[in-house]
Amino acid sequence: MTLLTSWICCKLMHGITMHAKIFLLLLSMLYGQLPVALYAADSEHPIALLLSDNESVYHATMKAFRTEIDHSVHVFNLQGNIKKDPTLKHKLFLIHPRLIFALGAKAAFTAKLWTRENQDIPVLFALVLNWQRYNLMDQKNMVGIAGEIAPGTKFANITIFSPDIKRIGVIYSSHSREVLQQAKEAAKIFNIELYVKKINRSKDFKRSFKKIREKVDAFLVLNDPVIYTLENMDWLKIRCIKEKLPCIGQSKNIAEHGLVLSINPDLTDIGSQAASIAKNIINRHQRPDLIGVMAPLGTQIIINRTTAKRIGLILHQTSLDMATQVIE
Amino acid sequence: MYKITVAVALLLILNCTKGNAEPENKNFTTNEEDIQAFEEMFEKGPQEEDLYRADRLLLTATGSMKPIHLAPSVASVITAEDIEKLGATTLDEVLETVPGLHITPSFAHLDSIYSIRGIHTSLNPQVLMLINGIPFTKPYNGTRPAGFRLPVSMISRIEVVRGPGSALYGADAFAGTINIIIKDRFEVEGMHTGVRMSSFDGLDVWGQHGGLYKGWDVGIGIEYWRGGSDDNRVIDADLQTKLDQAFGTNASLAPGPLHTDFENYNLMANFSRKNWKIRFWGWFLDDYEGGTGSAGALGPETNINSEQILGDITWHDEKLIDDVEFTAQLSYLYRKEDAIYQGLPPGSTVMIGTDGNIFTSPLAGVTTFTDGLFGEPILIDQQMTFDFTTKYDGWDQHAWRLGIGSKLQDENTESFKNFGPGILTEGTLSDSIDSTLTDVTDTEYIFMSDQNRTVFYASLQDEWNFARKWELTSGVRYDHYSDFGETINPRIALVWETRYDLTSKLMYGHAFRPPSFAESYVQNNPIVLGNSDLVPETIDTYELAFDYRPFRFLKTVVSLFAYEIEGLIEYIADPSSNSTKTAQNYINQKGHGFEIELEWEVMPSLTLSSNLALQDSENKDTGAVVADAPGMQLYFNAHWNFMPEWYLNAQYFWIGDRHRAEDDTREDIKDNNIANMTIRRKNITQHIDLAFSVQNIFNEDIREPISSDMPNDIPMESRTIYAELIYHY
Repeated sequence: MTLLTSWICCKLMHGITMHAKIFLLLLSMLYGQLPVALYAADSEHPIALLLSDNESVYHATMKAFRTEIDHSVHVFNLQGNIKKDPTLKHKLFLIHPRLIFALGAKAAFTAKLWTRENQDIPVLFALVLNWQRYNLMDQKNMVGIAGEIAPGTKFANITIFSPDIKRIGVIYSSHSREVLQQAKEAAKIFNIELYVKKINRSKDFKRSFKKIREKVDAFLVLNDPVIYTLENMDWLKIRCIKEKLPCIGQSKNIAEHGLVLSINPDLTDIGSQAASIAKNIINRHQRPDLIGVMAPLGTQIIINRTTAKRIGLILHQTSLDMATQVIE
Repeated sequence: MYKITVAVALLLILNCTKGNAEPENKNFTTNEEDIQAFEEMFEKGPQEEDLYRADRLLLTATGSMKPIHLAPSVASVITAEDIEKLGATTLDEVLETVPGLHITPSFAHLDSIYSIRGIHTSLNPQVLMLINGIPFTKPYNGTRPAGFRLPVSMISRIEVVRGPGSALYGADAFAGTINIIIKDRFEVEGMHTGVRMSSFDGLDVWGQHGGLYKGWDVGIGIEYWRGGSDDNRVIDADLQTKLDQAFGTNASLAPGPLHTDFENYNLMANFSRKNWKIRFWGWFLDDYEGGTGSAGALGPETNINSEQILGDITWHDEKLIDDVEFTAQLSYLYRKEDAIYQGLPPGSTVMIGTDGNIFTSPLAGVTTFTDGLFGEPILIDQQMTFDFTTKYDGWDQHAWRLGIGSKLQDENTESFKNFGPGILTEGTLSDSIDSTLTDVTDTEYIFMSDQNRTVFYASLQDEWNFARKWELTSGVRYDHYSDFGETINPRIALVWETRYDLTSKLMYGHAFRPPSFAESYVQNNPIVLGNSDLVPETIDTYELAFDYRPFRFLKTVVSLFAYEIEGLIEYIADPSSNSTKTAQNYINQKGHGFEIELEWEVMPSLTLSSNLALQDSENKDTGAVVADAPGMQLYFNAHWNFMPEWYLNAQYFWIGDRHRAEDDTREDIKDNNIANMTIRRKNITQHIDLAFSVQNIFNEDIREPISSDMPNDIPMESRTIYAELIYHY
């Protein structure tokens, strides 16, 4: 089509004045540039939003991100497996993404694989629990927001919530080794003793809990898939009430399930934070590898008052004021 | 100039070409290396993203808590919170919401038949009901206690497994298993009291308390429940109407209302400390009027009393040996049923056979029961069970469960009546008989002599997680019965987490139901007779199920099933008698169908759920469709939290496609449309909940099929209203 247009232009130019020719040529160039300009306004710098799957936990983050970013966002979904749609990578690169925003571990890991040879495309990840496990930061185009509240923030909140808590039990697996290391360092600052126990199988959780129970006055549940199974949490809920032990988790689910306290990132805030990072990279050309992995800015504190009552935990007004949500 | 023009035109071409933003031809397909790296990272062991999953846990399928979507069975879990949302007040109202399960009254004093997937018999002992995992089957006839109805205030959750469960539970887990878990201290905690007043003089008052006393977790509760009779439930004609036509009498009380008054007391007491649990559950029924009586004729002087106490001591240890859990349980069930049945009303004239029984031949004469025909059977049933279970999970990818146990069932009978062998003999037969009852206990004329049975069993189950996302559960149980010998029941189930949001299950199970004492040994009864040659009924069931949750707010379950039953026991009319039916392994049945469940959280304040069940079951030998079982059921529920602390729940049931027995010439069974609505305000001044509910809002004429001795199907409750107040602190 373009070729034909240019040929017609050339033929037409034979019989007209120089000024007219220059005018027509400029007009033709403008015509040629117009779709490019239009495309650039919307599509040359779109952001590809890659989801691990249909998990609705991503929705709040995605919504906040789209609201605050001033670029068009094209959504792609891995549907849980890289093999699910063999053309997905092609579809994603077809839009020439300016940045890939990956939500969930599978999306982040896949985005890293896909940009191995295109490291000029920044990949921003979020909602990746235990992000250290995936070696995401060994590419210079990777930048992220951690899926958990920093251990220091967590301990600060716990001590405000209940100043008597000095010894905290933690069960971990190889999934959460790095998180545990950070927690150990943070605990020192808050003068908290951590009693840790490593397990390799989910079914060893109960036994390990019983072994450390006597030594601790609170228990912290890590976002570790070996630890956090529905069966273990159901058992732990009853156990913590029986033992009158404050058990603390890092997801809203866990407080709704019956544990006394959850300290987790605010999903909407993560979306806003991601938009801000993306703008800095796109508009101010900030280098992803210099940003690294940021701690999530917003914190949600959810208190299960029914459980607190059952375990005899007195909730001071300060604790209740801190809470984002109180489950009755 | 021409050259310049051409150059500019070429430039233009280049410009325009750039505008067509085709991707550069780089490697934009996912290569094998990427796939391998992805699989290495995500295809082994548990994954972080599994943390986002939320599901209900099911105990009944394997004996261990398991998320429903991974459990090797097709099941429903209904929690106390769900029950409150539904506005349900009885166990049966809750169970009616389960796909493929329909509750219909039986011929015998309107006791509930739990009809599952087309397995529908006159008393329906093919469903195993458990309290805290312990069977409380009545060995006399394999059902629940006479007049059994259970209010819901003490229920923590109900687990319903559709399909066979004999590999774990042994007898009776044939069409399905219903496990009722009673609340413990932690679910009660503090004080809960409530009162509910309903139409037809209904009253329900309860109180519960949970706390810690001297190291013991204590949960106790007591409930008084009274129900009345709905005068709109009118029986147009009954068995006595037929007799009146034959003998020219006018004794029938039909047309007349069903009498269903009753009083019921429920008790629970749970104590637990460290490894020990001691639990009691008591259920007492007083003065139940029995509805249709015992013979299909209105008999308002029927009076059924039943008491049932179930206690267990359970010891559980997880520390003794690494990787091993032990559970030992001793349970004791005591049940006494003392029922006076008014089989026929005053003035009833009937033929008496030479054996003294009514309706039998050869004929000895005709007599009139001036006060009515009465029988008072008394059943005293004691069951002692010892169960020892060991779980071993020290072997990677496997979880073993070994169970052994023994059960003693002892049934003592007493009988008083004004008719039958030993009372009405050819020589003493007079024109009229009054209501004086004769004690035939310990004589040959009793309806059943004392019976007992010993069962020994052993079971083995392995949950083998042989590959990531794949689990094979296989189990087998051996039962030895002192009366009819042994039976072995295997099952196998393959569960595959096909995708993050999809679980597929393929299951096979074999189950059995032993003949009840009545089916084997009842005698001297004018209607039903036992048969000691019976063998257990057996069923083979194949199921394929898909649990698909494309979004967190949408859950869908599709289950397909097919089964074949051998030797279903039914009372079959004796060719040599006018009236009696004898138990026989008479029916071979096959059936298939499917169930679809949907649960959609439209928004945080609004949830819609629905299920559809279709089944097609027939006699394998004759091709006759199974009578009375619904071929199709549809259920719809909307739960709306329309203002803070205000909840509105609407239910709609459609029960249809029910067929008569082949020899029953009555009109087709009417489809039922039932709509219920409940509004609830919670936490008034933080301590008070109020609810108001209307059941059968449109006052539909709801009918359930019943014996052809009654020309019309039995009418169910008309519009019912209740108001409820709960105080908790």
